[in-house]
Amino acid sequence: MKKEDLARSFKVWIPRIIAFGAIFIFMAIMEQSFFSTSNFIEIIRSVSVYGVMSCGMLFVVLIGGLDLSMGAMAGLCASIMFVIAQNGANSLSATLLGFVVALAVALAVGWLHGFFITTLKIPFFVVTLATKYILYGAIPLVTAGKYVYVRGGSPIDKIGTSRIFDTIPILVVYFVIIALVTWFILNKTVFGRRIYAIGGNPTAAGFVGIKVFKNTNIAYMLCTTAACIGGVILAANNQQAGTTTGNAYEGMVLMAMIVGGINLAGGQGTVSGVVFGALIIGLIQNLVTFMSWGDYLKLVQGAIILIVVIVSVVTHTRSMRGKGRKGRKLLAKVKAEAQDE
Amino acid sequence: MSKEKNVIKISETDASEPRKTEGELLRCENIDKLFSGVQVLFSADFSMNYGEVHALMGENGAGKSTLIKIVTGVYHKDGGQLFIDGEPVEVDSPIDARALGIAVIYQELSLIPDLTVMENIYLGQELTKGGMRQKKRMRGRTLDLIKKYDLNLNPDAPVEVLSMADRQMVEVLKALSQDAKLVIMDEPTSSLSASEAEHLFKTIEGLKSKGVGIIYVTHRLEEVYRIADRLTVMRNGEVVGTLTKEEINPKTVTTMMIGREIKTERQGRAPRNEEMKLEVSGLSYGDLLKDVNFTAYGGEILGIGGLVGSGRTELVHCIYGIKKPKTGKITLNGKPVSRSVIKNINDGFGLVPEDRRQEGFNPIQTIEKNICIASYDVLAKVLGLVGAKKERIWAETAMEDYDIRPRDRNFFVENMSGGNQQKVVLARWLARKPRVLILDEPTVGVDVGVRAELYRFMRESAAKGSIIIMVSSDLFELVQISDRILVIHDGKFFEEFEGDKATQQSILLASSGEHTEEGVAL
Amino acid sequence: MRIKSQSIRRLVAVGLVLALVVIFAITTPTFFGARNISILLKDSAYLGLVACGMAFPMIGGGIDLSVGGIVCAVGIISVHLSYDFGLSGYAIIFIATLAGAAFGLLNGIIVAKVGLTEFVATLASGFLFLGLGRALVFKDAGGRAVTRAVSSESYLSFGKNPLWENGWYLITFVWIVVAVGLYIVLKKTKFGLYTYAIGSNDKAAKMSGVDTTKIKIIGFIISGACAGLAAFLVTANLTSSPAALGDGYEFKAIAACVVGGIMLGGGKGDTINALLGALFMTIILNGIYKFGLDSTFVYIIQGLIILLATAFDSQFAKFAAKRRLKEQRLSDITPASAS
Repeated sequence: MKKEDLARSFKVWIPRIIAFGAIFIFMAIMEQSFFSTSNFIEIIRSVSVYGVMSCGMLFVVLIGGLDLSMGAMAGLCASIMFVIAQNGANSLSATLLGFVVALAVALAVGWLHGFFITTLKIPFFVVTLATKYILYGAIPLVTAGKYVYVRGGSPIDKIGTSRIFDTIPILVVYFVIIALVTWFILNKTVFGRRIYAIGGNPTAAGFVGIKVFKNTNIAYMLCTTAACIGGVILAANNQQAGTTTGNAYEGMVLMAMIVGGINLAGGQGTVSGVVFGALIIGLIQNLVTFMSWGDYLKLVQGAIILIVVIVSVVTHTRSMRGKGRKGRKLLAKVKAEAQDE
Repeated sequence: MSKEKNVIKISETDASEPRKTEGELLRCENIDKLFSGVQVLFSADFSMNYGEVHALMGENGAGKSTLIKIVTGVYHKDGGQLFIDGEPVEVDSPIDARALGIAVIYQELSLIPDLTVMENIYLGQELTKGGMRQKKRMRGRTLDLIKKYDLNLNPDAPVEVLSMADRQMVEVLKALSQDAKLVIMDEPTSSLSASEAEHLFKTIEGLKSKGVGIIYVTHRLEEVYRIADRLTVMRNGEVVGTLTKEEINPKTVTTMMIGREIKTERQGRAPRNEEMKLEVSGLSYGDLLKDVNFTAYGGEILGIGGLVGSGRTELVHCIYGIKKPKTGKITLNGKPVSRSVIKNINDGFGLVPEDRRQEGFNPIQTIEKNICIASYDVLAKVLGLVGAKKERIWAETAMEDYDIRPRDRNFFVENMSGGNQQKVVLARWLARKPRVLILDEPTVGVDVGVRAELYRFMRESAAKGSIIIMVSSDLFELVQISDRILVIHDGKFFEEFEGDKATQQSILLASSGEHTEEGVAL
Repeated sequence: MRIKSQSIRRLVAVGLVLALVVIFAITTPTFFGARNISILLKDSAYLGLVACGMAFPMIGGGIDLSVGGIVCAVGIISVHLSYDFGLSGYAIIFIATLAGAAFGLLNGIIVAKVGLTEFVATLASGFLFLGLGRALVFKDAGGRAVTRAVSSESYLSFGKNPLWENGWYLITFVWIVVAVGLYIVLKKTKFGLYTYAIGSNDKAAKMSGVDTTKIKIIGFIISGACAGLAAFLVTANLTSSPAALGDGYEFKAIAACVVGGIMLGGGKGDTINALLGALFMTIILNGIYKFGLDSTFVYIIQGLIILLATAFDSQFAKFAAKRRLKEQRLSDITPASAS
């Protein structure tokens, strides 16, 4: 049994490692300064922020939804925390209070998402698109239209810019913790099992007594929580918060989901996929900055999302019809079993 | 047949043009049909006249729908000949059928709720001029049609505001607008209330008087008495016989439908466990269930029979807690049964739903997760934490006990055969040693080998003292497996049968509201 | 005589617009000034065009999130055509519409042929179009984005100046012509009817012989073409193409459609609803500036409008269904009085 599991994870990870390696080598060839400590730190930073937010998005995508307001949520939460901390003279207690208030706002918005989507039955992309603009518009109200900066040495600064062994950014620690917590919730708790069950077939989930509405609401709240944490660490690392904090991050997060093999229709996807997706997105982001291809970022985003989704949809329908290598294998297995009986 | 003939045309002529209204409309001679080498229709003969309502009856799998699909061009026949107006014809596609004036009214309505009656009637064959729809002309024709068949419809009303019976009339009009002379209705009353059905019968009589021929496929005997001129009964792919109106009576019809009953020896009745009992009293739900009372005991398999649409599924859903009954009391061993599904599951309830694919399992999840999903009260006792090893053992034991194949707990359920998918859904509950296990049509789409296993699992579970309730439309299964059978009719339990006394025929009669010698009237 | 639910919904939209007009007429005396009206109608026109196009995928039961990207890409392409190639405005207006239609065709193929869900397909293609637009932005020697002003007379005649002193702009007329034209398409042609049919019940439409794939693709083409046309007109009015062109247009267009009474889920509404919605959105946004409120309120109010309108519609649909059920029960008891 153990051996089989190992083989399974090999099957998943080998193509991933190859893809990662290919981009890695490509970048090394394109740019000499790629192999510098400062660049690696840069990559780790962006990977960490994307990773934290993607972990939250994973819950929502697993139940068959999407949260387009993540970037704006991140910006708003960071702004709230910064403003409160600043008004409290950057004391530890004010910083903590700021975080708690930001988290409370995030949870409230997450609950609202769930309410509109489940109880009022409004499509999730309309609801989260609307809240995206509301939250984005609320940021200048919180910050009075300015950027909020933190000085070095304040608690927020420590949250964002501390380093382990004086080199590795602390952000990666948050990412690892959040990824582990997400993995734990999804794989070790009943709630995780319910999330997968709802995503795969909500009607059948209802028939085994799963409260679909309640769990959907919780998933959206977990997502906004991750947006809040992601926004705070991003802003703390930049030492500033404002309208551009986290702006349009949902596009990158969505790309990480798709690259990580998370099924947008719900029910299928793993934390390891998200981690891989965030790594690739970090690399691509780095590539784009390096080559000053900023103008092409959206182009690449759209192309990757479309191509990956089209390929996955087409191969899935083919394999369901018993076509293609995977499909033939499945067909053979089912047939062999039928003959056994 | 030339290609041009295949084009469907709304009759360009006036709707009141005289048409042929007498004589033979359709004749099927010696129709054979094979599905991958297995013969499903054996030289079937069928004929009908203009202005006749010809009912077609038979159990599921008797070959009714195959015959209908050959007439409507959905299937190709493997032998025999069709005649329309005495002329031999080939019907190779639904388009051919429509061109020949054959129309089907489907069970699930094919109307667009947001469009008006007139728009629906002409959908797909609008009259246009210069790219614009000619509303006035279409409206005029629709009014003519409505007048001709003496219906009560407003051509400009959106279909969504119409009652189900009116919607069916729109479907019929849609068929007639395409010059249909033969209208096939497949279980048209399954979604209608009693008064709506009466409404439909009046329409059918109107059509008949205008010379339209109607093939009326149904399970309901009382409807056959009410409207049919002739009745053809099918069984196992053969036409058993055709009865005229005078010859139709319940005994004859049911005998023809069931044929010679083979009853294998039963292993004797299981002892009843009186201490475990589920009591339902005064239960009502919507317009469907009026006053349902019964008691189910541990140790026995209680069969619930009745026609499709008689409220059997709604009854078990009410017991399970997924639907809320209007009135009524449900108790298990004297304790009221909760209205919450999860509480009921934890209390020992389980439901194998009717529509396995929609309601039963999660296709994109593994066998293991599908089996364990209902048992986290046992598998995750502390703080909602799941033990992977516990889960694995639970799933592997269940797969072993209930012989689920492939024996790979990580196999996706979507890729399994129908029988094994059903075993997964059943194993989910059996692994919990349920106190009350409800099965709704447990063997639909399950092959014979697996079927026998499912019955054995049910029997074993009952022997351990569980209450087993089985809803089924398969009369053979109902009679063979159940220790006791309750038959629903008109929103109530109509008759009760002891398992060894029940015959398929008596169940069928009771389902149609005819009292029998074998059963006890309730 | 029974009033259709859809008529009630349209009355609500008209009422909303009138209420806004009354509020602003009282608070700002210049509201009914000829200049203010003409600017208001001009500003409604861009959004109105996009919303009228968006109406087709929405009535067909889908959505088009890529219109922002199309506006961005086509806008910059139009300016390039004039600035780099010196094409006349009359040629460019056709090319812009065609380019938009081509983008729409791509959406349609991905949705109807490949089978992606509308929102994933158009969200991703929206990124693609937006990226294309950003990539084509004019740059100076140092690689920084710059704007280039259009100077072609024929180009600017579409948007820069009103047709007469303080009068209406050509844009407004283009909008009204397109809205009425598309209204006729929706109500009078087979294609229009089929659009309602697929939005209302896709399966039944297919059973009645409607080519649902084709209808869906044409819907996206119309949406793209309208966005392309709007993009051209926006640049004609601004005399250039800013890099942020098209940002949030999909969102505004959805807001306009939803407020106007085109329901999410399909089958209900028409371009007149989109027109009303666009007017509502423009008046309220102009009002925000007039009252001197911070421009960030624009975003908040747009978002709130979508949430409130959809919440209203979901409750309204429930109410309408209840009403229907009641009437059906009644007609069931007394069949003679059904019609």
